[in-house]
Amino acid sequence: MKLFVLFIYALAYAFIIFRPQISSVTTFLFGIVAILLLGEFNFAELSKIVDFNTLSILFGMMLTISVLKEHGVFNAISEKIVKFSKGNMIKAILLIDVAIFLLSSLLDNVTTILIFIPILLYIADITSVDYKLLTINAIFFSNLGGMTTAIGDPPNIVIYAVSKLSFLSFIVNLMPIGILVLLIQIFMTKKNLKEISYNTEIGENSTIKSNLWALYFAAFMLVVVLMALHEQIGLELGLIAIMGATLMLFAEGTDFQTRISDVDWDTLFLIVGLYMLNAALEKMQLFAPLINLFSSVKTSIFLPIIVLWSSMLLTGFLSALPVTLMYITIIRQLVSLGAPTDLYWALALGVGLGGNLTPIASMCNIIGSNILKKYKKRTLSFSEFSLSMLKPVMLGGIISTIFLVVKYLL
Amino acid sequence: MKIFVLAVFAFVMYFIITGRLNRTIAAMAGGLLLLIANVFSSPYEGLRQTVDVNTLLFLIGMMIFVRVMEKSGIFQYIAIRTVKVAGTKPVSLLFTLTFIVVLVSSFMDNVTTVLIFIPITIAITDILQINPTPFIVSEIFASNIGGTMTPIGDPPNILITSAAKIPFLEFTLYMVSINLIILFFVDLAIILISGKDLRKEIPEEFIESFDESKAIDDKLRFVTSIIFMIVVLVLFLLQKQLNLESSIIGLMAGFFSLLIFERKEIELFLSKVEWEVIFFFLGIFIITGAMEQVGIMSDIAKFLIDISKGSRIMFSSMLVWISGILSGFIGNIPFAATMIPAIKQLPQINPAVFSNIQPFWYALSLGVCLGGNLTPVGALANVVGLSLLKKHKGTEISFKEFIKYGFVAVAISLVLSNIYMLLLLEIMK
Repeated sequence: MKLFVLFIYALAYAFIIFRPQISSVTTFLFGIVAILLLGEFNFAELSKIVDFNTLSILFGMMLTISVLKEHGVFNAISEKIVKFSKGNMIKAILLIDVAIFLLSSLLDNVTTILIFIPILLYIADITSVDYKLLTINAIFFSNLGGMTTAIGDPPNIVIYAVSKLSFLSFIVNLMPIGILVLLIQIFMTKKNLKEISYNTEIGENSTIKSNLWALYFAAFMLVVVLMALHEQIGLELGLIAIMGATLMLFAEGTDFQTRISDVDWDTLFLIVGLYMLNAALEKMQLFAPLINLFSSVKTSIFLPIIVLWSSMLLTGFLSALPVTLMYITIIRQLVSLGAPTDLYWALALGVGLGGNLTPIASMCNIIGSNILKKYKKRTLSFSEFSLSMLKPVMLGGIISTIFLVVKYLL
Repeated sequence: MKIFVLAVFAFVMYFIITGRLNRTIAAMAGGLLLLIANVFSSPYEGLRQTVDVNTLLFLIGMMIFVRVMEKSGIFQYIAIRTVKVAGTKPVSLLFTLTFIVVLVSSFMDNVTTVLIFIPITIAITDILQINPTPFIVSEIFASNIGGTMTPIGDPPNILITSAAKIPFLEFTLYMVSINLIILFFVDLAIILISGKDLRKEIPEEFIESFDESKAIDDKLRFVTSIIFMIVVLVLFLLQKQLNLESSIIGLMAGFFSLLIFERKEIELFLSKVEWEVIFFFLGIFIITGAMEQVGIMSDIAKFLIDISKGSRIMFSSMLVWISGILSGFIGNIPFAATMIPAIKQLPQINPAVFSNIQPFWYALSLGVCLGGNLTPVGALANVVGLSLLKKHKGTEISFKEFIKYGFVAVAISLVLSNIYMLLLLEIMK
């Protein structure tokens, strides 16, 4: 039986690597089969193995983004940035990069990419800056930003829900690294841009019709503040996210079905499937040998570093969510045996950075190259993408390693 | 706390009845409010206690499954064949369809029945160019009536028969005749209400001009779809023996069919599931769960027993009427679950009168199952059926419009049930 469950697990991951288009459905089905093999499982107890907090956060945030998008919040922000730069293109590019980083840290990475890459491509056109550099940077900053908060990207949401660490602790531990990497990368980009500094007039015709967007944006910021205070008010993030979304829908008064079709069901079903697979593996105690192996070195400095780099590499091929789920079960047990919680940060950093390694490692990369295809009629090849990402990823990896070592020594 | 829960319930009902705000958003907001207000020990504990994950997952799976099956043309094929058999009179068509629905839903879930029959019915009314509303409404009623007939037809019946240990055949024997009579009169009432919509005679040549083989685009897919449907049906029938939850069968059916037939459109199909319905139920589950939690349900049970302390006839009549009317507004499963222990205690309260509690199980079942027809949100099948109608035809039946049919149907059902109960009380002395 153990072998059979392991076989199903391997098969599910094989589908994730080789048939990513249908992997949400296959993973979900393999998950159900794995659970059925355990026997005596009652689906009414699904909440014991699938973390509903993860799902509620994701679902709530997806609905929120749909509402914000509908009311032009993103367009308004990008327009404000372009106006603020007053035609100075370098300033515009840098501001957009920072905006991508900050927005991605709170919202979905793909949405920010969708908004900002077209603008960057437009700037590239009029200033003859290398558009590939701008696109790669945008994707990198989006993934980087997502890494820095508990709600920034799905892997972090999973880590948050499983580890039960607070929203603020994510920001305290991960944001400084994110900002440091961002600054260094921006500094290097700026050197590249120096010779082609350029000023242009930008049309004043605004597309913002009303100031309603500001209201929705303020409501969203309120949700974020509530999230930061979630320990004080004693509510889980998932509940806050869904509550925020419901209130916005309430204010908006639209048809629920139109909003909900914006939700990325693929990701949700993938997560449920992965949780089920992991639960089956855990029940069969298939993680036990690995846990025994690592628990002997659980307080060593090498453990977080191994987690960081191995998860980074694996993410390049398996994409972030499957890797996160694979590691998180083991890490949770190690932590309960006395390992430091730094392992969670190592994992967050690893999958966050690793998501940049290959064009298929995260949704953001796939969408980014799709936009490039649409506007520029060409795509970045696998090696082209990975080679240009290698330097920033390595930079992030080294900074993260230093951080982990320093934290260990303190 | 009771007053707060009732206020939230009233607030949600206000939006559902007036249609001022999307009812899913209202139900979700109400449910969340109750969770946050700590009606339960903790918000997530509340979710765990109240939300019937099994039903929701089953619904998601079946919605995907039916949608995928639809694309093979199988429902249109059945529709054309049915029309050719049933002939040219819409009235006889209505009787035929509702009769089949009653039979099917007495063995299958009401929602599954509705999910399968509504696409077929809409295909039929499209072919005949007649108004689908009376057909859809009567089929929804029929699915709930059919569910009342057997111990497995409707969730409250499962609870009642397992608590009272009534054998399958005995329960069915007592329930079939009365429900068929109810169906006949409800159908008759609908025909009278909808008037000329159903009086239109359809020329024979018109029907003959349809060719069922044209409904099939892809023969291979058609055949594999039929095989697939039969497999799923067999799984549902053997559910007990195989020890499979209906949610697992539903999910497997939905996602495997997606994988086999619509590999390229997965995302589209997932986003087209009636999520509005799913999340509406989620909200309603929490609200009814909260009513149970704070003791509103048991208050109703106490009230029922108090007012009919000394009389079997009084108690069974009150049981039929009160549970019937309440079931139109609050979930009938938790209500049935609360009434069951109350009925069991009756012999202790008044041993002289309530020595035989057997007939009351039937009164409870008739009340809670048939009462669901009163409003568009009274039973799962109503919500799902109406949302399918909206999806296919764009016609939305408002609360008021539905209740016109629902009121008549439930009034007929409860009057007949009450008369039947008098008979049963005589038989089961």
